[in-house]
Amino acid sequence: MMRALIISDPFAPKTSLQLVAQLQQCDIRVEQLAIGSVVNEEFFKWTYYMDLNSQQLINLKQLAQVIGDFIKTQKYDIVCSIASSYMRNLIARISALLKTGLVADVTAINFESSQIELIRPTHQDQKIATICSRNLPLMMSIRNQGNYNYSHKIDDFNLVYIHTSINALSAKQTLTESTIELEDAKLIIAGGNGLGNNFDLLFRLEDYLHGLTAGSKRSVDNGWLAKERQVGMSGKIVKPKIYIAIGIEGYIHHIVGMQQADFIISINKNRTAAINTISDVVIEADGKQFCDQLLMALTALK
Amino acid sequence: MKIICLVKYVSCDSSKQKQLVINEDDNYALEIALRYKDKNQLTTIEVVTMAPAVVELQTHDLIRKGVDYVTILSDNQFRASDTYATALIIASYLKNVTYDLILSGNETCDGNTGHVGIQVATLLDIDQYSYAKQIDICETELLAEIDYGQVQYQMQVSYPCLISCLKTKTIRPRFVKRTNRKLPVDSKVQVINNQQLAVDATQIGLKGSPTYVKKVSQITLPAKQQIYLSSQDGLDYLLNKLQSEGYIR
Repeated sequence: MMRALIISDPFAPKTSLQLVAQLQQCDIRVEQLAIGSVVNEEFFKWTYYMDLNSQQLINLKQLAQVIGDFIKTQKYDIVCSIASSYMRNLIARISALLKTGLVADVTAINFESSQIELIRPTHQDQKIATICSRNLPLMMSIRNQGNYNYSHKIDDFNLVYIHTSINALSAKQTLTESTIELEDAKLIIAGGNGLGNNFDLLFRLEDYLHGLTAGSKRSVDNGWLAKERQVGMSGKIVKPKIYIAIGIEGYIHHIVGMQQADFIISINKNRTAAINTISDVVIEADGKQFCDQLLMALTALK
Repeated sequence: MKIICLVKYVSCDSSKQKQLVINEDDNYALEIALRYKDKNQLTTIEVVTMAPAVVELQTHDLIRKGVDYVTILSDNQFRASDTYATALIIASYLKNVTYDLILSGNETCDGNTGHVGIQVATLLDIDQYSYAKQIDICETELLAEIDYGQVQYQMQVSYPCLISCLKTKTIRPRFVKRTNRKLPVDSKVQVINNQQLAVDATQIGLKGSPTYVKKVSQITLPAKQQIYLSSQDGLDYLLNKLQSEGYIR
């Protein structure tokens, strides 16, 4: 049976456990390496644990070495993590030490064929690439697909403690408690390049409708919106009941992040925008003007 | 202080002609190095890029902006290398070069992986941090603000190190000054092929990279039948929909 190791993100243990649950649906043996200061709820059945403080966690050079040495003593087919910034930084370092293949932002894994196949959207064109590796373990960061729940049995784990002697670096750590849980949102109102620098309108709609404001990569790159609200391949993958896309062209980068929404409404001046093809309803209108009208109507209803 | 800037020439904007330009993040990182040199005359900046030889003419502008040397790693054997193989090639060159600091952009617009800088630093066995929001190059160490999203670190990093910088809005990459547009540069740009670099050819390129692309397929998006509505009908429709789903009470 194939063996997979998931290195959990010390700063996102919940999302890491969702990845455990996701991989457990495949016919493989899943093990977890927990690093950081972990509480019981964040372990699962097959767990290795390195107890590290925040100043040790930022010593990436030594930490990668220790984890790399551990992986060498085992025979894993894949070693993966969620595609968070911290984990991407760490696992790229580990993969270079192991001289092994590394793939970023994987959206699906196919264990069925003779080789492990990783699916990843390409950035240009509307295409997806299937990537294989010549050597094992194959390492990757995986995009959170959401909606997998790990059911936890507290008396059922086989915990192996790994002692390390990683130097603490002098560094000041600040944690940002993210309150924006796009993955769980039922209603998302998203803007793109076509909306321009008018996201204040979306935040007002957010208030009225109790949805969440999100945006495309372009809108985040333009500095209109915080990164944590980005939907798409290098942002979040969401599955709301209703997704309202305002002034979004619909590059594949964005579409992989929201195509699983139950109902998609696109507001776009451009009839041929790519996002229209996956929408249920297309409203041909200017994004900003439409938001203004919608806000006026909502105010009148109040 | 000797600073190496790693840059990639990319073609990202699909609407324009497929012209190679310097990757945006890398250009910001280069600007940080150039600004340090503006204030510290004894600084040397070398740009290192793995690229097709056609970029040579374009790299002349880097010299005209204040870069001291440009090294282009270019060979048919390098083509189609994955991120690890690319890092192996770049690190093979850097192993024989002295430096205090290596800067790169956080990621490229064509791959968005951000792997290469990290892997280069690993092969050189030096410290590396990505997602650097702010750096302050000091004589004995570097002060960095690393932004991983859920967690931020403010830290001192000792030289030598590699820092992968996020694009920041507070600085704007410079252009070549009008008076420097025709500055001769030839001896400052070198092209190195694999005969000189001698990276094991079985470890790089299409055949030697650890990963390879098995196939590329068109995405089949779920076929949906759309309703097209005008602005006014759309507004009525949306209000109705939101009301019936309970978002407007």
